[in-house]
Amino acid sequence: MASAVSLKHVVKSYRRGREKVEVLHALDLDIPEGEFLALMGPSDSGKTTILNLIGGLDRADSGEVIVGGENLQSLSGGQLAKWRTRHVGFIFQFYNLMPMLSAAANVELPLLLTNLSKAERRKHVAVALEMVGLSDREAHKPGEMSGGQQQRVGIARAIVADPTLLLCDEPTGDLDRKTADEILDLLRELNRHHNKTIVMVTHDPKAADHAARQLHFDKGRLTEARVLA
Amino acid sequence: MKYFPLVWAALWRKPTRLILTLLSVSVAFTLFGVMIGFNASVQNVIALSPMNRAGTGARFGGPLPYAYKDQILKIPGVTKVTGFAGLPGYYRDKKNNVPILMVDPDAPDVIALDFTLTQAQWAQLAQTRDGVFVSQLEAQRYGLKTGDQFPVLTTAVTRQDGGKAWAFKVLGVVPDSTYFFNGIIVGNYKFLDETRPLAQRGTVGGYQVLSTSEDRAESAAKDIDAHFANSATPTNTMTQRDASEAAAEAGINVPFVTSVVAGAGLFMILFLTGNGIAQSVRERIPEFAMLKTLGFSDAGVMALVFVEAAIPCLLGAAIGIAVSKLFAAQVPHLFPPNMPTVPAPYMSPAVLSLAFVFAVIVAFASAVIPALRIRRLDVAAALTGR
Repeated sequence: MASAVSLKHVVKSYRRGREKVEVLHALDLDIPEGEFLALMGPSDSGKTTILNLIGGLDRADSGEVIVGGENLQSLSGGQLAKWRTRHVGFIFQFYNLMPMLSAAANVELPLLLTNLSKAERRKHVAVALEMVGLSDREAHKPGEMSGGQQQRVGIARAIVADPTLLLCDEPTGDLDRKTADEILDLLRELNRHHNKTIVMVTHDPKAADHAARQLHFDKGRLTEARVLA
Repeated sequence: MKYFPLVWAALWRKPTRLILTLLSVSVAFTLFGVMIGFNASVQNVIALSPMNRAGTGARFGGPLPYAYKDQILKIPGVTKVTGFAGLPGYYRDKKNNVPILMVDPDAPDVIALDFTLTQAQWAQLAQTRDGVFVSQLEAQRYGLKTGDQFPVLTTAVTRQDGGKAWAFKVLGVVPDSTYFFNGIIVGNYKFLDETRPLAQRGTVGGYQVLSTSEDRAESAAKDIDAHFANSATPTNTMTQRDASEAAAEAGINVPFVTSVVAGAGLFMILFLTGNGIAQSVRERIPEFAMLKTLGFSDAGVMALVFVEAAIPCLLGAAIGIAVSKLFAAQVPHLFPPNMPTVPAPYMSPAVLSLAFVFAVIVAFASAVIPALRIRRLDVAAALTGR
C-alpha cells in the first residue's frame, strides 16, 4: 500500500529560554494510506510535534516530511496553508469552534477558502453534518451543544473539504467515556468506510485501542509499535 | 463577501465593547465634522468673495454722501458702484432685532452674488418702495411669508414725520445665502432715503465697487481712498477678499484651531480603537490559530483584523458626520438675529471625503499592530499553548 505519510530522519528541536531541546531525534515513520494510527506516550514525548509536522503547522530542523507525495519542507508558508485546505482535516481536543457562529457556519469555514458557490458550500456542510449525526443541530451555536456534539461539529469541519488525512490531537481528552467511545466509533467509521487516513494523538489506552496500529514514543524516540487489527 | 459573517460574528462577540467603540468614534467624528466643516465654511466665504470687488466705508465712521457714487464711477478701472445703508430696527419686540439692508437699484449688478434673489426679484424690489425680500432663516424666526405686512420699529432712525414705524411688505422669501449665514432682509434704499428726515437724506452706509478685473480691484481701492483723502469724509476701501480674510482671522486662526481640535479627537479615538482591537485579537489567539490551521493565509487573517477594525470606524464616522451635518443645519438657529455668530459648518463633499479618509486611516493604524501579531503567530505554539 502507498504511503500517506513518510518521515525520514526528522530532527526537531525547540528553544526553551536559552536552552535548545531536541524533541525528535532522526525519526523515521511510515503511515500507509487508509491507516488508523494512534500515537501514544507521556507529555513531551514528541507526539504532538509529529502531528504538527505532518499537518504542515511546523517545520523540521532536518530530514524529510512527505505527505501525499508532497515534500512539505519545500513548500512556502502560503503554499502550506493552501495545501492544508485541500489535504488535511484537523480535530482538536477543545474543539476550537467559533463561539459566535452556528454549527453550520463553523463547518463551512474550510470551504470559504475554496471556489465553491454558496449553494455548493451549503450542500457540503449538510452532508458533513449528516455524517456526524448533527443534521438537526446546524443552527445551534457551540455554547448550546454538549461537548460530544461540539466535537462532532469539529469532525464535520475536518471532513467537509473531503481531505484524505485526518489529524486528531487528543480528540476525546475532554469527553466522558461514553461520548468518547461514540466519537472514536465515528472516527473508525470515517477510516473504514470513507478511507480516511487517521493519525490520532492520545494519552488514553482505550481510545488508542480503536486504532489499527499504536506507536509509543518517549523522549522523541519510538519505543514500541503494536498492530491491533 | 463570504467572509462577512465571520467578521460580523467577531464584532458582536462583545456587544458592549462594540457599542461603546461605535459611540466613541461617532462622537469623535461629530467633533471632526463640525470643526472641519466650520473651517470649510470660513474658507468657502473667502473663496466666494469676488476678487474684483471692493467695499468703501467712511474712514472715521458714519455715513458717506450718496454723491460719492458718481465720483467713484469715474475712477479708472471702476465699472459699477452700488450704495447701501442699514436700517436698524426691531419687529414686535425689542429683542427681535432685524437686519434690513437697504440697497439701491444697481445692487444686482454688483452684489448679486451675496444674495439669492433672482433678476425678476431684484427688479420687483427696485419697483416696490416698501417691499423687502426675507431670507428663509429670518422668515422662520418671525413666521413671515410672502404678502405679509412687516412693521419694523426703529430707535436711531426716525421718519420725516417723526414716526418710528416702518411698514414693509414681504415680497418673497428667498433661500439663505452663504454670505449672510445668520439671515438677511433686503429692502429698497429709495424708501429709506425718502422717508427719513431731510437732514439725513443723501447718505449711505457704504459702497460696493466693481472693477474691470481682479488686478484692478487693489489699485482702484487705493485710487478711491486717494481721491477722497482731503474731503470732509475720507474713505477706507478694502477689496472684498482682503476684508473676508481679515474678518476670518480677526479673532482666531480658524484653520489651526479647527485642525488641532479635530486632530486631538481623532488621536484619542486612535488609542481607543487600537486598544479595543488589540484586546479583541488577544482574546481570540486560539481562534486565529485555528483559522490558520484550516488554511487561512497570513494575508487573509490580517485582512479579517483590518475589516474588523474598519467596520466600527467607518460606521462611527458615517454616524458622526451625519450628526454633525444635522448640527450644522441648526447652527444659525442657535444664535439670536443681528448677533455676530459663526458660520454654519459647511459639509462639502471634500469634508465628507476627508472624514472617510481619516476613518480608514484610524482603522488601519489601530489594526496594524494586532494584525502583524496575528501574521507572526506560531500556529503550532498557539494550539499547544506554548
